[in-house]
Amino acid sequence: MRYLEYYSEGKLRRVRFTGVFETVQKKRGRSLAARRAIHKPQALGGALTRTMKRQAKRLSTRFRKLSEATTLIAPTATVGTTVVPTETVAIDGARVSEVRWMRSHHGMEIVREGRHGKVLMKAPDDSGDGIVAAFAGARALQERGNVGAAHPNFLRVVQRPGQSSRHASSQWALDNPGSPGVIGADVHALAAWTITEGDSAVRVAVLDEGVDTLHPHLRDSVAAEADFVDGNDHARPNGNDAHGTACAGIVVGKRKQTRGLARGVRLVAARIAKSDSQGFWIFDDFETADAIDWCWDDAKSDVLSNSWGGGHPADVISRAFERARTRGRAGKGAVIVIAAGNDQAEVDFPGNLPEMMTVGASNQWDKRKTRTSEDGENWWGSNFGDALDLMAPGVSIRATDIRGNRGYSSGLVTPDFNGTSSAAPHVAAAAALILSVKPTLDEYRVREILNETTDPLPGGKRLVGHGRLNVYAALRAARRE
Amino acid sequence: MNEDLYYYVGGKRIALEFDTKHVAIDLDRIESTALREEIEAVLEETEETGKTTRLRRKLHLAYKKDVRQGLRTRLEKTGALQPVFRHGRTLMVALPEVRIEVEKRKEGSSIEQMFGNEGPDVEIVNDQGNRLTIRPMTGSGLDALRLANEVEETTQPLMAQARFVRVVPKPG
Repeated sequence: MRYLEYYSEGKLRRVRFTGVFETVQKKRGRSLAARRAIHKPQALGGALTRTMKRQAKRLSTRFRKLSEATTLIAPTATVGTTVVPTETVAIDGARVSEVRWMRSHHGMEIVREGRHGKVLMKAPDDSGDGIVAAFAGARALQERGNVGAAHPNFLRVVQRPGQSSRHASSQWALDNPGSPGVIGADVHALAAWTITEGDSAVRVAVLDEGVDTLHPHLRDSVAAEADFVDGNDHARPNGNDAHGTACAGIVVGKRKQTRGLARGVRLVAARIAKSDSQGFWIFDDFETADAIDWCWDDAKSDVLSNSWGGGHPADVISRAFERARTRGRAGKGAVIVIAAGNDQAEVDFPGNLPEMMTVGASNQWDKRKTRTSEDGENWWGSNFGDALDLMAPGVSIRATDIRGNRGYSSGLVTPDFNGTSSAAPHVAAAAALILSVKPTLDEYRVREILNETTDPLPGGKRLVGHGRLNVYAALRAARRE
Repeated sequence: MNEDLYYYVGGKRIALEFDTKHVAIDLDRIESTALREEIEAVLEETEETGKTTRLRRKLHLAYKKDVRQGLRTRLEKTGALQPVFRHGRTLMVALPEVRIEVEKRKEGSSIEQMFGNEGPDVEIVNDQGNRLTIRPMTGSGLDALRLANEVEETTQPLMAQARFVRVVPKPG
């Protein structure tokens, strides 16, 4: 337990924090291994239980990337909101002279400048206890009376009530409340959306069994559509083909129930497959290749999301992908995202092609989805292999469903869309957000950023790639380019 | 027959294995009205039970056991059966079409010569300069596979591939 004081609304407030504080001592010249060695949680105001230790470790990745902070707290409360102090100070209406004063008297450095005179400053790494230093600095600056406001910068973990079903009563992939699973085992969408929700100049193509382009959650986003199966003048699916509609919703869903990760970008729908009555998809290699070419060339798609695959490789498809990757976006290259597959086996075609973004599925516990993972879905597991780039949420994903009662559910929304099919659109959306922030990046750099900014997951590179998608970290990295 | 059971991907041979349970029937290749009516009746009946799948336009995939031997033989003689291959749980049906891509096409190049008087009997379906789509006049998917292999082995273009329709397990 720890008492700290700060000013809020002109009054000095004394607040009590409980939980596990964890301080990472950053010292220049120290190896990563040494830093990990001193990364030990300290129990404050109670015994340090094994659960708390685990929780602290889990949250550490999230908060470090979220806040620039190196001191962490694992919330012990199971309901309500946990407020997490950091070593940073948020200053509003800061004059240059006050920022200099903070630097000279408290050793603080600017880590971010916001709009309208907002500045985020961070306590020095060698201050011993960064949180205490931040609180002291904020209080001192406020008491000088020369700024609009100065207070410690908090992170908040909001626990949503009433979520105990295994199904996706929330969009846990975007913001995981830990019920079920682990708080923070998500793509950090809420933080990412403080940077961008996507630019309408960016287009994501969903190549699938069709997209219900008249769906009220999607129709406003549709930029172009084409049918490479039946030659219709739209890309809407037949019968109960709902897969593509769910994929599209993960990217651009407009409503509160199905918020897309990149809802500001535009959708290109290409129908390349149809179902038979026995649970199989029918593809035509040439038509699929033509669809790929249409997506990057005619429909000017920046990102191609592909939740399909299987069978022997086909040059005609590989070459179309390669054209998209090298000639799309006026030579900067379209980003090709491909689902790894759900057989818990080696990644199959086209996910095994080089220079593609191949995506596996993680679950609510921030683990690779396997037939024996905690989620209880024992009928599928994420594919693995050298081709795997990264993981993204792929279990019980709430997404848009085709209209009528022939889809996965009877309404406009399905609560439990599954598979690497649902993981891939998350990464496609993340790529689109990166291009919204930095449209000048080439596709190779977009892939690098996505891979370099992941959160680590248990398992080696062959099983989990570089780790789980962290969109916020990716956008921050993109912004620095 | 066996030497044809492969195709090229990135210049490498990929072995193909015939599927023993299915037949792909191309109704467009049937000239006899009686034969056409007979097989259409079989397809209609099996489609209702979900045993037959329409792959594209007039091309259907059916279980071999649902098409009796005598009818299969007559269909084969008319060239209405297209080859079905299996790779794991994926079925691949070869269609009578080949797509060829070359780096730079010159008049009188080896690919051009191949389709001249000396070459196989083909129809050029689409000609976009460096991208060419051809059909063997026999209308056979197996001939398309052979043709693509021949082009690959004699001229090493960027790509020469027969057209496949895939039937893959549906994800999600």
